[in-house]
Amino acid sequence: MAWRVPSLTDPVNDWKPYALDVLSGILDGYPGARLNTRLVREQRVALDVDAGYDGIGRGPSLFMMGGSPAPGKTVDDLEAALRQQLRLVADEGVKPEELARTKAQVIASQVFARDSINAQASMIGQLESSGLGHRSEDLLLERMRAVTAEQVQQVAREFFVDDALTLAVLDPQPLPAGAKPKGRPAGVRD
Amino acid sequence: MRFLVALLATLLAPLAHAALPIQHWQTATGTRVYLIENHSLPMLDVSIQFRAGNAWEGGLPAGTASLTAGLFSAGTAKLTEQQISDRLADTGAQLAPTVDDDLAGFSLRTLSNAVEREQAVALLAELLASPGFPQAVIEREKSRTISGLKEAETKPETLASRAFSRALFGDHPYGRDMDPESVAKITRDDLLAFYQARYKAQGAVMVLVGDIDRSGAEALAERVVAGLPQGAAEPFQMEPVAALTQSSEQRIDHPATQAHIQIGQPGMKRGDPDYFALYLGNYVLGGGGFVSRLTDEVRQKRGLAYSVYSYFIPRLENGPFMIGLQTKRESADEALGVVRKTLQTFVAQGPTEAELKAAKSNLVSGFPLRIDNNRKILDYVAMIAFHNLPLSYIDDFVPNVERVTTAQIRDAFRRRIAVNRMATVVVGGGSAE
Repeated sequence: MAWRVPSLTDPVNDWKPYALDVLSGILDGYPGARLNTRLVREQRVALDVDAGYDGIGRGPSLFMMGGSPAPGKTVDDLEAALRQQLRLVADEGVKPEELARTKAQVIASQVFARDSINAQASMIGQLESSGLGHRSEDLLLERMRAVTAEQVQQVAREFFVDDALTLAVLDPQPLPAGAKPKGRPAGVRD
Repeated sequence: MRFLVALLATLLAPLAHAALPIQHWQTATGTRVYLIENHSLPMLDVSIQFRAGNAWEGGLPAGTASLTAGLFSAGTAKLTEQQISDRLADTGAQLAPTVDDDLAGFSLRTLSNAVEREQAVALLAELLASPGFPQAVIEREKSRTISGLKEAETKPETLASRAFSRALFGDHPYGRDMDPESVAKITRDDLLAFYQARYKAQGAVMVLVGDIDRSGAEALAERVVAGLPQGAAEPFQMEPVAALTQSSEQRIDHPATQAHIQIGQPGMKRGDPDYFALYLGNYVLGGGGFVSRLTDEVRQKRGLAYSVYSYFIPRLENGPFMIGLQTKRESADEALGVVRKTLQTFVAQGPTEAELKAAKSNLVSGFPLRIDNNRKILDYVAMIAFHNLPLSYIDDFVPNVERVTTAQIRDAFRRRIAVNRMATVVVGGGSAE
């Protein structure tokens, strides 16, 4: 499931992209985040779930959610469960400790990523090519620290409408009786 | 002018050696601590290691060591599994266990801010001091481990490496391998007994890399080890590995289309006097990928395998020396013959000067990439610390590589690799049909 959402164009005055980033962290930013805890461990409606948003890039961006249904559950069950998690944020907001934990996770993972020279190069390249400039990295962290619970709730209410949604389902087809899997295409190497 | 150059060289030399200065001391409880300060990023990596790997299980069921290491975060005297996971999440810290044959331990990565760092360190100290090993989590993890092992046992690579390890090490602890039956036997008392016997403060090694100063590091180290069982693990020395007395060959039937082949014998240990000669020689033999002799003979000339390689795993005592490859079932015998011939030729004649030069150039030029971030430095220094190698090991590495001669490599391989006493395992080979 992918919704069209804005990307970051003005790092100082924009706030919605930062709030969308925090929202994706609330849903799927760490192993104990909402989607994994509720849909995989508690409701057992999914085998795995994910949510993600990358606000750095030219042009509009996408907020994505996805997963695979658990045995005995349908794609519709999973879709309804994912939508319900968005609605819960929109209706009830997020708890302060949840917000703090999500920010700590996002900030720590960005600091930790700088330990890799390769990741530093990609980050600088990404910031430059998106027009934000490589010097904006610390500013982005500061602005994300400033996101409030109300802002997260507000973006959850604003952007997740069906007019902006693309939904794709991979539906594996059964093999004809007696057929065997074709195996890997010719030329594929380990 | 020449004087000036010499003077400059003298002035610059100490700087070159200060590239990675390691500070070293012991805690009051006898844990050896190693610190590399690096204040360029606001983060800190900590590792602590014990002589608590698979080979130290003694009479306890095989699998006890890895289950113990994996279950520290399952609960403590005060905290549940969920609380531990929430506390880590609150600080953004990452905590991971590691286990191999020799060692078990943890690495912790945390932001270096006082608040986050203190919370993360307090949590690590509590896990180490009072692991709870709750029964329910033990049962869950045992059944997960058992189903993982059952699945692994259907794979030819698992069958090959088990048979190979047994052929090399026999009854030596390095030959131990857990299986579903041994894991099923493990009890909570086994985990507690293993923890009490092997997670000892004295003789443990701790490494800190990152944004912390010496006095902060000293205080942190004392806190982490304060609650550990006191004294030293007994036994503390690994028993030596006996050399093979004869060749052996096992053929194990398996329906896989590819035969898995492993050939080798006990190799060398960390700090081995032949380490650099064997290491460079192995690069030429089968460690250097496309430029190695094994690849040239088996793949380039005959097209018998995509990948063929050889390596030494140096441990506290002699770990495996192994040549490995996969090939079509029908080609197993041919490939085996080529590998044996290539090894015999190499042991008899050693590398050429050109091969040694290429090997040195690769290892010397590639060395900076092995220590180009904090995580790699942590792992490298932890290896130095665990094996009690000299603090100058990293500075000495390149000179030690450059010093090796073709004659030393030939001599070391002739003394250490007995081509008439090799263990061979073939899983899924043609002759088993």
